[in-house]
Amino acid sequence: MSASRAKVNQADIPVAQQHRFKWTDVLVQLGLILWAAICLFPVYWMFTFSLKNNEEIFGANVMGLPQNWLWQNYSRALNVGNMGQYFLNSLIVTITSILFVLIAAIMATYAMTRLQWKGRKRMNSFFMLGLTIPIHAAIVPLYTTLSRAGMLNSYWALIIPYSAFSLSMGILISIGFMGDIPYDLDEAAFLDGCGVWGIFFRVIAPLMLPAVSTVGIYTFLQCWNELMFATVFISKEAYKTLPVGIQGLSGQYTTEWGPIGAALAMATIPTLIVYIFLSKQIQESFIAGAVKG
Amino acid sequence: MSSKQKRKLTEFLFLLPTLIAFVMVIIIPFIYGIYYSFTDWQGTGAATKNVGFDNYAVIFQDAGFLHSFLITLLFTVLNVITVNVVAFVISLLVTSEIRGRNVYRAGFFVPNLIGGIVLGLVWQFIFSNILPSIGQSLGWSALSKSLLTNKDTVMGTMVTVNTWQYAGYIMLIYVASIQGISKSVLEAAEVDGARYWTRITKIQIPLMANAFTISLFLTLTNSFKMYDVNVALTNGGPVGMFMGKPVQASELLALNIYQTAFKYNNMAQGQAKAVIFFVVLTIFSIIQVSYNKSKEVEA
Repeated sequence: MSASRAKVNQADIPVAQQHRFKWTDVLVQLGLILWAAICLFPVYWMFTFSLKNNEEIFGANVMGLPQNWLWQNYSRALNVGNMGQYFLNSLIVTITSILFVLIAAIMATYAMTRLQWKGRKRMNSFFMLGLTIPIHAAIVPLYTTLSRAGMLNSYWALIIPYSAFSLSMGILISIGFMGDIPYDLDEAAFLDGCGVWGIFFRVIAPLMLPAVSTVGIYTFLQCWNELMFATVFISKEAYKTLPVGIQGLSGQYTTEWGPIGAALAMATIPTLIVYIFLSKQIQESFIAGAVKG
Repeated sequence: MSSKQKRKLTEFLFLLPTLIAFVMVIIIPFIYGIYYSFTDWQGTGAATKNVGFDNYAVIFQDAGFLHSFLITLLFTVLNVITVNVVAFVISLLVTSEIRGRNVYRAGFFVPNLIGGIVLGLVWQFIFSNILPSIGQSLGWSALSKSLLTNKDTVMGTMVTVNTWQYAGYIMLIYVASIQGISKSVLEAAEVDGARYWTRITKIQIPLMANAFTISLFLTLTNSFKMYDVNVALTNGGPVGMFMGKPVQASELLALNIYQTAFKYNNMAQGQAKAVIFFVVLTIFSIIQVSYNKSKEVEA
């Protein structure tokens, strides 16, 4: 349908103007291709140099595809660079944080939008404070608290702060989604004899699946790439996440760049895979978070 | 237990997980942090004494901190301009009837998915190896040395990298806003003879005011908080001069706070810097948002 409309529109335009339009189209295409090249070149370059040796990286073949595909860079990053451990740690920390954020945020959203009580609006604004407090303002006291509790160098040292700092955004996004669920459903369930918990678990929670993916993706990207908390709270190899591990690697192997490239690629691949399958949802989760904020 | 009490308990139970996490991890440390900034606390939990505004007096004479503060402001202003200009122009292009616009949109967002430390290192390699090698082969002296080791160009490169990463995200917000403008308004203007440029400046931009408020807020806070790209790209270097003292030419505030508190183990001073950081960021965001809100019109 839109194609036929476009045809009609073009027929309306005088011939001279049609010609001019094509020229601007070419320019626009060129501009877009140029920006796309700039956006994707570093990614392309990261993947190619992860398969090269120093000689190729530093001169013989800086930008081209690798001449010998050195897959052993990846196994070296895994075995010597300890990337397997970092990867697993990132996975544990990220997935646990996502679960906590989802459960807590959806429960809190339910209490603040579906249950009638005084002060729920004020409670909501209180939770939104979390969006305005930067982690820098809390990191020093948080460090001493964790240190006194003997919790530095553990998964919890990251899971708890990550969850807490992602909650505000989680609630913000969930409120939007929960507003779309009709109140009639709550009432029908109530008349059928469901209590508050029953309504929550049987009616609301299953209908919040779209929010689950949006909040989940948002939290995933926050936790997977976080560096500041991770550098400060973790110093033991056994608990380092990918960003901290990579930071250490780049200082350690200044002589061999190939395995570092492999480490960078390994940290990026999961996100890119998620993006290939869920690019629409990821883009929407970023817009949802921004527009409602 | 009466049914009313029971209901109260249920409400409370729903809020409990969020409340605990929120108060324990954000609110209490934040308040403690303000308190610590007025003491000589060293992070060990040993007895501390109140020192009033001493920490603040010291950091305001610290050339490194003042320099970080100024370059963070500079970085933020430049970044807000470049990110939003690039994002706005691209958003106009990918909402036109151009072929492949969805593919472009998806591609432009990719830099946002990559962690700051990863893209910082990749760009560091590009700036210190690829560009110099291109510069040498073309005989361009300006490019033959790394732009990251020159204190005059290092901030420009940081802005470039951040624009590269962030423009794709801001573009999405502008695209969503442009798509929300009703087609009939633009068609009516076209029928009335308004040219492309007039349609953009007189109709689209005013109707997108809400998107500008959000985008400027996001770029402002994001630039001000910049940490991981800073660490990976330059780690603060090279050395520059400020107020007659050597300073780190590209050490933004977040990195300066981190170094003070955790590298030099000066917790109280680091925390005082963090308090200043928070106050300035809050004031700027409030000014920006209320200024932009006053410009918004109803469609």
